[in-house]
Amino acid sequence: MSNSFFFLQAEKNHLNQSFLDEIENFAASNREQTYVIAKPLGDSRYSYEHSNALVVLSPKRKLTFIDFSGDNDSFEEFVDDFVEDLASISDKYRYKEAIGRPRGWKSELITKIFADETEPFDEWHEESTLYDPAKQRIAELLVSLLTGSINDIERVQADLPTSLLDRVKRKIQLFDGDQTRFVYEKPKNDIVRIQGLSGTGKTELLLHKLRDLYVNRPNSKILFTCHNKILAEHLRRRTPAFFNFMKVEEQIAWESRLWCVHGWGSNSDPHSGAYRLICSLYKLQFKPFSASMSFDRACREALEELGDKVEPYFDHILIDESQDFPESFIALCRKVTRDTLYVAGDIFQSIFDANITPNIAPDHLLSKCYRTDPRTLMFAHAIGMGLFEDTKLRWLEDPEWAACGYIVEKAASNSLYRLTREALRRFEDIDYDVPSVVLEPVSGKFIDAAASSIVAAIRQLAQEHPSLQPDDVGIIILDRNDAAFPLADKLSILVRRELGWQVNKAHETKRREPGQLFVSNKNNVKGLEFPFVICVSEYISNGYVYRNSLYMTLTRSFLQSRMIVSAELNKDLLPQISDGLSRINAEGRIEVMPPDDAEKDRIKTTITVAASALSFFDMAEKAFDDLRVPPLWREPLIDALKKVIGEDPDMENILETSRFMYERMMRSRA
Amino acid sequence: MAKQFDLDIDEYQAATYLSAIRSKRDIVVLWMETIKNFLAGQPAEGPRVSACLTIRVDKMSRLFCTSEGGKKIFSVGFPFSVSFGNDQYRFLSREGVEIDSRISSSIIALIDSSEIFGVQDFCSFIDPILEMSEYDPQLWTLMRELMIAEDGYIRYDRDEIREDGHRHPLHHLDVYYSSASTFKVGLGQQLDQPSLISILDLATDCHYLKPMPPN
Repeated sequence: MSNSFFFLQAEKNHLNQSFLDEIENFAASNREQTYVIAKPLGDSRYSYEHSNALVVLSPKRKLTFIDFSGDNDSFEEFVDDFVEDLASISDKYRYKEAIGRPRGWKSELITKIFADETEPFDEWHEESTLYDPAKQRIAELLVSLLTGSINDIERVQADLPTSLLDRVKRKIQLFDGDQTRFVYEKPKNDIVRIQGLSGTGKTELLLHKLRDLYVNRPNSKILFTCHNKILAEHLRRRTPAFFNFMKVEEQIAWESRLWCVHGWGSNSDPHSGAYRLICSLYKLQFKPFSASMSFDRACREALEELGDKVEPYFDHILIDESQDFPESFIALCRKVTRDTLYVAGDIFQSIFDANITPNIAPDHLLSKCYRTDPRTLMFAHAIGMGLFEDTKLRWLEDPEWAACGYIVEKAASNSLYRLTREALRRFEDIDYDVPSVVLEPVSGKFIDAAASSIVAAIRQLAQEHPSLQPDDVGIIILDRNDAAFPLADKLSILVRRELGWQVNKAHETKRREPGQLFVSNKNNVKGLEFPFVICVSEYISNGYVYRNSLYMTLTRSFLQSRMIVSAELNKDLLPQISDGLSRINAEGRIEVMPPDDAEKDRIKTTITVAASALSFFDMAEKAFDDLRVPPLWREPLIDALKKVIGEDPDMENILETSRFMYERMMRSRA
Repeated sequence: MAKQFDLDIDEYQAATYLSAIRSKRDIVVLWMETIKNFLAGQPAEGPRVSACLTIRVDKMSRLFCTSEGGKKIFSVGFPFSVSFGNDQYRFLSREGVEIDSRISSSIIALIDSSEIFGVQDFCSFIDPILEMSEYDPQLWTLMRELMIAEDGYIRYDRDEIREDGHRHPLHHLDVYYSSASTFKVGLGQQLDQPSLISILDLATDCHYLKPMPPN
């Protein structure tokens, strides 16, 4: 069982074995992030002649050098060389200005242990602890350098942050054991699968992997792809910025060594998509999207045309958001990859996916979501799956809860589930007194009430967090188009007028603007995160697509999510949800009665029917049949429905909206 | 029967109307922002009022924006029909497409984020429109109307700072916006909004340009 708190990159042998076992157990049972290395990670240039020494790193401890060789002189040289290299890494990433030269911190932040003179584990445990928060912070920065988990030093800075917002924004991020293994361990297979919930850092890890491959395998050809065009463009812009940040000296050779494109592509440009590029390289017939040509079919036909004997063109392919791709695309990529294919994906595309524990076990399962306060994630799962409601919408089996990072405890002979998550370093400064989710029911005309409530909420946040900036807050409106767009327009006027903040309506700009308040409907939130999220939803409906959006939206915050809903429309649901939420906020756990077997069956069947993926047209036709809409009225009604509902239709929503519109049509013609 | 709709706006809203118009795409965005301002129904009040928007529909149909206490009055054609009932405005294009918050955002998104007017390649122009039309078949109808509608740009300006004899008279009208077509018409005196409306109104008597007497 891999342990996310422990990472080892050093030879285990009979000399250090018992120490390593002890420290690994200690890291796991005390939940202390610990790394044992023999040389700095992330740069193959550093190597040392001295063998049988280890370096132990842990965020709140001194860097500890432990010698198992008994050769003191050689060990002292190793320590000096190592510190010298650390100083040069610190200089490379501009940490030196913030933390100073080694002579300033060496005596206080470094300790040496000779294993032949003492019991190394006990000695480490006693001697390495740091109590001064300022020194802990420098030590943490050193750990980040040595593990290749480089932070932007201008963002985190070396001095101690004072406010809560700054503490979380300036938290030094460290890879955990699982993440470090993915980036630095040699792959065992020619396909490496990594899975985790959104917010577990998959894209970040792929970028680190990409840098590692690009720098350490000269002349290799690498393709980096994801399905979505906007996301691919975003990655393409982010890659050079990331390479600059990681001080990669080589220029990126676009379209000769590195491609960063979306899945499909268009006929006019051979470099416009992964599939398009493969077609061009292997002289296959490119099939553009049409009503009869799905991506799956295009990939299957390409695979067939390609045949068995293929000389791989790429050395590595990295796929992000693999849940959006058909398996045929992954098979196609595998065929044209010489070395390793890295596949990163979400555990589920939607929390309502029928099978979330996959048939193919991932090589790396990331269960810790670093973006969001664990309490926010719990609430998002709970409301998404309807756990607090009389009729639950989704239930997970025990291994599935575990895959999502939950610790399951059962009480009262399995009639009560207690679900908790492990605390995360990023959020260790947050007091449980500060709620991570605030539920705010409003009364009166919803659009006006929601608008004033949002302005008031931002005022309150600015008071509580004096360093709050407009781009620290994201407002996401989950309501139907006919309500969401007018509210966004109203807000853009009111927020500027009342608060003087510029407003970025992301459904118009399709990008994030620094220094502006982000406002959007649910379609433009993928990959985004904010310290604070305000989620607006008049009515909490039972539709799966809606609940999944609600779940996705709530998890975009890393300090607090607020949810503004109508008091009247949700009056039956609100008491139960508030009750469940207060337990999460105060105690950090979900307590819920599991559904009985009959209920579980009902949930499964409903999900399976919903997952049979009716098209918009089919769903609308079904709704019209239920409502007995005469054929002549169907076409205008379906056009109107498309406008109001937009992308991601949901049976519940379609039925409800059709009923409303149909009644209106009948009245106006009466 | 002439219809007139007025809306007081704040300095942030006014900024859209005061920034320089350089191309037709700026006008299309301005039309959409105007419709949004009226639909949102949040008039500025008291000291926050920075400018006033007026939609005047008679035989002509025009939008006016009066700011800086009448020193600047800006007008463009407004090729939409407007009605007001049940405390709510309703805007229809000439071909009957209802322009609401959503479709106006789609138009702005096409122009601003997809930059359809800035691309060379035909596919890059049409792809975003096709994509959006999937959910809204009327989008193209409206986009086409907006692209070919005449904008009728005219601006009254009282400009003490750049006043320069007959080259840049204190009171003048700027007609058109592109550097090839724009010209100034000097005015003997201040022009208020009703007078500008009267110049532009087809239902009132014409105004005459007369040569200035020699200095």
